[in-house]
Amino acid sequence: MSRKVNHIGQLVLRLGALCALLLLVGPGNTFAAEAKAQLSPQERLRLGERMYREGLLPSGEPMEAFVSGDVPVDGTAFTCVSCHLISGLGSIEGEVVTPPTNGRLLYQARDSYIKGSEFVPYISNYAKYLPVRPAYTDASLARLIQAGVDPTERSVLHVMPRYEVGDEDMVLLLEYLKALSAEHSPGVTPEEIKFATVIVEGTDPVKVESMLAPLQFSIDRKNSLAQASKRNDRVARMGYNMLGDLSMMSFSLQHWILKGPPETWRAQLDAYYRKQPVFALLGGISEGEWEPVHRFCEEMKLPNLFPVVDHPVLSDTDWYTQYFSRGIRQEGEAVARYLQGMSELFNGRDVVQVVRQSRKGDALASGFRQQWQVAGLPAAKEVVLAPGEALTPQRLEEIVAREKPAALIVWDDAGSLPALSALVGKDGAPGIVITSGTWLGEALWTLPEPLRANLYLTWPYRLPQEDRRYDFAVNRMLIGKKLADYDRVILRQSFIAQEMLGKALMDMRLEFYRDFLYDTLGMMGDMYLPLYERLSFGPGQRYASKGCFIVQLTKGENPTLERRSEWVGH
Amino acid sequence: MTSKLLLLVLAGLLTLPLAAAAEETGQKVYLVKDYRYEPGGSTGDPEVGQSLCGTRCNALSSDYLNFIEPGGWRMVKVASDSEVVLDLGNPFMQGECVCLADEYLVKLVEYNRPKEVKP
Repeated sequence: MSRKVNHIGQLVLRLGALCALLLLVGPGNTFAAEAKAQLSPQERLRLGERMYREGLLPSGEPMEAFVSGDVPVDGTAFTCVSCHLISGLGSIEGEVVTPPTNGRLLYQARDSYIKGSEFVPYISNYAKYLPVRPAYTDASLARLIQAGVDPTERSVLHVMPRYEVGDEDMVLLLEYLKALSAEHSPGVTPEEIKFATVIVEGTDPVKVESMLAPLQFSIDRKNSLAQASKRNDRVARMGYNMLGDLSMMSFSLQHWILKGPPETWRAQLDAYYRKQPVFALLGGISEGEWEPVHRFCEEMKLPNLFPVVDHPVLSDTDWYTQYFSRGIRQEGEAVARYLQGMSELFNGRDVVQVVRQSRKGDALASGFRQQWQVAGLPAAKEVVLAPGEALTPQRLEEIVAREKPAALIVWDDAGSLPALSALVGKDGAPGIVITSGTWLGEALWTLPEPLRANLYLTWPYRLPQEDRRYDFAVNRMLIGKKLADYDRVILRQSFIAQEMLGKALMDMRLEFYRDFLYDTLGMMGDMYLPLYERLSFGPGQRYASKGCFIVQLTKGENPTLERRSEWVGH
Repeated sequence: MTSKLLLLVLAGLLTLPLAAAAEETGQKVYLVKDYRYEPGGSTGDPEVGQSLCGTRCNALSSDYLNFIEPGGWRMVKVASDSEVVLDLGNPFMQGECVCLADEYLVKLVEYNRPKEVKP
């Protein structure tokens, strides 16, 4: 009996749910006005955000858009965010300047200058690109969106679509625009911008110091300008011309030290943030886990610029952490791309990956496997070495004799070198042998001579002999200390972090919104900085270096790396 | 007398470019513009060879935008359309790559170079 009642109850519930769904998505009924009025403020903002970012009406239908006046296009392909960006503060692409669309600026009249920054060249030059107009009202803004006519009666249809948005939906969109980039992000006051860096306890102190030194130098240099500007009018004028009000602001860098197991980090991060909110995290370092910090940044909408980590979190949609690259995995991907170009020559012989079971080994092998599969090539054979299991010459010879591979990839540390050396000149040796140059560490530079001509290496950085020209710029930050006392790679990575932050803050026109920090980075072209052959930024791109060289070590006592491939990128 | 003096000046002027060339000791870089595969005796697929030569020749090319020096630098073109011949360097296929490249010398500007980095 009770089972029957339950059954009827479930049926009634399902019918009710169906009716509610039909009411919401019924034909011709976009979204009942009464229902919208009852929405919570958060839900209203969410729906407005969806219109702005995804081009979807509250009903879930795509916004109808028209370009050139009457050519219909899908509103989800011509979203507001694609030009006005996540922060709504507009974009600059070459000569095309898209004005801000956040309520705070829309509902102010626009002059040919920005009040308060009339004499700051980089800000006033920006203002000159944009047409003068009176302040928008709700009605004139709705007219702009629906008809493409601005308050000066000028048509904008040559650069912007017009959208079919009903009055009820328009109210939601305007509410969202009014909330967009309305108040400066936490961690910013008129006098100061607060930053923090996350350090995982137990990280090698030399590495930590190498990460901190450039950041602290940069912060100190900025603060001395602020101090000097307060004491000396000439310095103040010079600083103001360069940076506007940013010249008088000081920066601070807190150290957020994470202790104990990663499961406890979230609570520690919350406590640090509660105690002192910051505008962004700079750098940061961990030799192992980083995901809890990544997740914290996503949830708090807190930017983290260039943490020094081996295993970044890989995501196509996450927004708030900017990594240098996809980590060591990128080397595995590069090997797959390099070998796929010559795979036709393998005559049906296999590719074999010998993988040390470890986080590094797994990442390298997985990068190779995935890219090899994308290329449509038959899966490579894999031999896994357990932690602590030695790769002896006999073991490697057995693997080669059994599999007869055309290409042998060994993902292991320098302990594998004797086995690789023993393969040289042996009958039936693979045509090509590749390993990770970075995993070999310093042993890379002392490879036995006979091995050098036979071993190919991945190298995800610019060749050291070509990167020396950046030594002066990096060395300047050490204020008399020796370059040799630091980790060369991390020092350069941290140099990049502070350079990019400096460039981005200058380009932000004193609009200190976290999303605008990333919007600004996304507008930067390819950068030529130390360490990486090229760093690319673009809207939503979160892995700046996309390439890797395949190299060989030259003969002699002072060998160099020689490129065997171009910058193999994804 | 005057004509002898003129001859002397002329001879001096003619030797100037040689002297200047001898001083051109900057780093040599290549900007590769084209490449082709020369199979020689190899019987491999020439198209694969051509593709592999792309990788080989492009690896020779230097990205001049990487040059950053305190004090500045300039690139002096010393040869156009040089044919740089490289072994294909592939264990599965023989042949050579002919890389068509412009050769440049990177000359550092010493006048503005900060004292601490002057050799």
